[in-house]
Amino acid sequence: MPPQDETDIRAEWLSLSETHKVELITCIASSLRRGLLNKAEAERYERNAANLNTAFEISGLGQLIDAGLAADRTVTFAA
Amino acid sequence: MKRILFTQSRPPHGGINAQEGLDAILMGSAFAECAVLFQGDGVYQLLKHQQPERLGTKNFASTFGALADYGVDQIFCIDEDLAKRQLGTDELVIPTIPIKQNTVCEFISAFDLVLDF
Repeated sequence: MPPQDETDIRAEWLSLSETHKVELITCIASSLRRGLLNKAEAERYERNAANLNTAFEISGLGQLIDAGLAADRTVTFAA
Repeated sequence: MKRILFTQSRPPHGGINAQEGLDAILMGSAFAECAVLFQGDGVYQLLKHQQPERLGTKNFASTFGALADYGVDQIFCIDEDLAKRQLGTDELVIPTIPIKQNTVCEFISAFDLVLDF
């Protein structure tokens, strides 16, 4: 949770997804490495709780490549 | 066939980008013709004799040697970026094709998809 005077970026993503019907997909390898688990992954790794909002779907790098090749534009914001 | 360029732009062990980029390249090779451009501090990813075990990070430099087995044999680096860091191509774990900084825009625009890590 960000401090009150900072933007809640996750909330903005959820709003974007809802308003414009945009799929929100996270990479499974990146998610696991950073401790983000949905219900299925929490069960697979025997963790007590999931912490990824259900609006996000976990998928693989293959989907990034596949979508990138099919889209007419790919915009990335690498850290 | 579509062509993907992966740009490896960050140093190897300060963050996870380099390793995740390598994962993406290996995956991308299953879908399309892939090339890799090492630029900026990304050229350090290819340095020989790294000892990242001392930092508790994985020594993945040797995995770049497997790229050829995945059909990824177009590996480029920016000449000036090596020179600025006083590196020669003989100090890198795999052979790379040096390209000039002023040709990079044109080089990149020839690809269908560009992913930066």
